[in-house]
Amino acid sequence: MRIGTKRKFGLAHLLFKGISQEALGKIGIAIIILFGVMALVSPFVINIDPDVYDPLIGVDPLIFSSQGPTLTHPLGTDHLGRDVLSQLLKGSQIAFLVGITVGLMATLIGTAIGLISGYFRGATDSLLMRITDIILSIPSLPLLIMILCVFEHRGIWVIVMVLGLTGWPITARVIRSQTLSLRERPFVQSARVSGASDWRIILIHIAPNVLPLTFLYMTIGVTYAILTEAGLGFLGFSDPTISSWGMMLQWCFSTGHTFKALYWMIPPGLSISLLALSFYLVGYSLEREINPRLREP
Amino acid sequence: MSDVIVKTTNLTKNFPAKKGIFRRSNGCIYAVHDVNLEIPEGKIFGLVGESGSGKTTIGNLLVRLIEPTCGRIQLNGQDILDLKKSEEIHFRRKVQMIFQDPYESLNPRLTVYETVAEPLIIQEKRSMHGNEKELLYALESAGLTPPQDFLYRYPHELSGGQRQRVAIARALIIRPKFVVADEPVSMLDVSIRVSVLNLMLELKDNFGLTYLFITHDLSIARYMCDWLIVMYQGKIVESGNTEEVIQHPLHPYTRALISAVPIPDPMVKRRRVELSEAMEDTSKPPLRCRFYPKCETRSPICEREYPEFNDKGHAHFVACHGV
Ligand SMILES: Nc1ncnc2c1ncn2[C@@H]1O[C@H](COP(=O)(O)OP(=O)(O)OP(=O)(O)O)[C@@H](O)[C@H]1O
Ligand SMILES: [Mg+2]
Repeated sequence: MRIGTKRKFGLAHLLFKGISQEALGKIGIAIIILFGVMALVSPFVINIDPDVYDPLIGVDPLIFSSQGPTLTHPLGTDHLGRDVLSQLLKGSQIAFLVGITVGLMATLIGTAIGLISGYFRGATDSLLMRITDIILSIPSLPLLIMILCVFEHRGIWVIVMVLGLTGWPITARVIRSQTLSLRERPFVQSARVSGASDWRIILIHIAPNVLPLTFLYMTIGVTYAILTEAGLGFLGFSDPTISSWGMMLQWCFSTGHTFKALYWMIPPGLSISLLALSFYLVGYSLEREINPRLREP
Repeated sequence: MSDVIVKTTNLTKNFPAKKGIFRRSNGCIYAVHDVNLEIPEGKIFGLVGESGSGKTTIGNLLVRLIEPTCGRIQLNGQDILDLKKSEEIHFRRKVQMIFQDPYESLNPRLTVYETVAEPLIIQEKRSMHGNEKELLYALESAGLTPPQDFLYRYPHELSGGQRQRVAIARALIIRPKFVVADEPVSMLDVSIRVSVLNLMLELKDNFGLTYLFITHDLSIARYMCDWLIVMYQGKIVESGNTEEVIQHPLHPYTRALISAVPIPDPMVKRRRVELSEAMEDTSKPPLRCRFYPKCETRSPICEREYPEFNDKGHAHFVACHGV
């Protein structure tokens, strides 16, 4: 007898199939891997000499203003003599941290709310969807800035929490509509006839069927988080004690180096666009495989 | 007649008819109206009628997928509509359903093992593992041989007939007493219909089942059923022994239905009674005979009151003023 399940229809298989079928998906994955390696390399670069290469407090004792690329500083230094490459690598870590955490949080909350709303319908649904509407209808950047101004110390975790707690409405809506149609499907009725409880139906019969869609919206959530954090950083509302890409741009801009020190401005700007784009590309290439509306002819 | 396993009294289900962009409820659809059934234990009880006559609605009511607007349902003499939570699980054990579309009734993300074991896990609070013995037996009984080849497959790796057999194995694994089969072969390829029907007949004897067999195909009904009920727009118009109803249909609707079935014996000529095309508005309160607008033998009384359900001998009942 064959033991062990053959998960031919599992999520991993689906994701792999979706990504490998589209050239754009492969490009996306390649970019993500590139930035992943950069994030992993960051601590080693800092450890070469923390006094010089720490992205925040490491200052090259020989340099007193922003300087272009040299052998010791391949991407040059900022106005205080801090290494731009080291900041960029650290920024990659931050981008993943913010992107993945916010993406996970927002999709988890959105999926849970969508499942509950769509499955139980009625008053629960109305209440949850009105909350969703409210969050959706307020322009997000002003809202975020308003919330962030409440906090005196805007640590990166405050930003992550605020983004995660406000980034779920679209996912919630999509998952809700999926759930509304799944709950009427005969396999759900069959579970009900066998005496399955509501939670069993949600967790075993509906959730696995919305999971690929959830994953798709997570890639969009990650893109949103990376771009928004960078935007907040550039506007000066992000955590000033961390060299995120947005903060790097802000330092470059506020010290008047914007177009004078391209070696300083381009790397973080390009990184933001590329990493955000890569998650978007992955989502895009997954969509055909995952989105039920695109799959049905 | 043997013991009655399922009995309904004045069973009625109205669906709100929502129209217009604001989906305001105006009136309702009388999907099932005042239905009294007595299903004898150990028999196959057929439910026939055209599309939209309320067959599925009755099936769903009997397995409590939906709640009736009014009326009572009894299983073995016990009222099933006001069960406590703890009693409901026992009811769920006795009654199962086989759905029409095997492509829709199996969760695409569960293996055959997970699908078939689910009722066992729910009913007997078992864990997911260690149910192989029961599963192999159920799959084998459902004609999936060798059963171990099917345990870890996904529905998309099965043919339609195999899927329906998995659905049957799932329904039977907790040894129900009463099974509602809602057009179980209508979505299957014609070539495998008979084998699935024969399987159901075989399982009925082996497991001591009673079926409510819903179909719109009279030849299948004749092949399968001991008793037949003919429905028209939510009402029972005729009921009786299958052969009796098919050989001597009394209600004009039944006669029209039977003459629409392809005749297996070319020597027998039957007059086709045409059902006129005009669709009746089901959402009007039912006062007159539902078949009145299309009936060939109507008389003025048919418009004023709904005919009583009368015994015409040999346990053959019909609701028609003209008979
Ligand atoms: N959930 C629902 N909401 C509103 N109306 C419904 C609902 N379910 C069924 N109906 C209506 O009730 C009537 C009976 O439907 P039902 O599905 O029981 O018919 P049926 O005899 O099973 O038909 P078919 O042979 O097509 O399966 C139809 O007019 C249908 O439109
Ligand atoms: Mg039906």
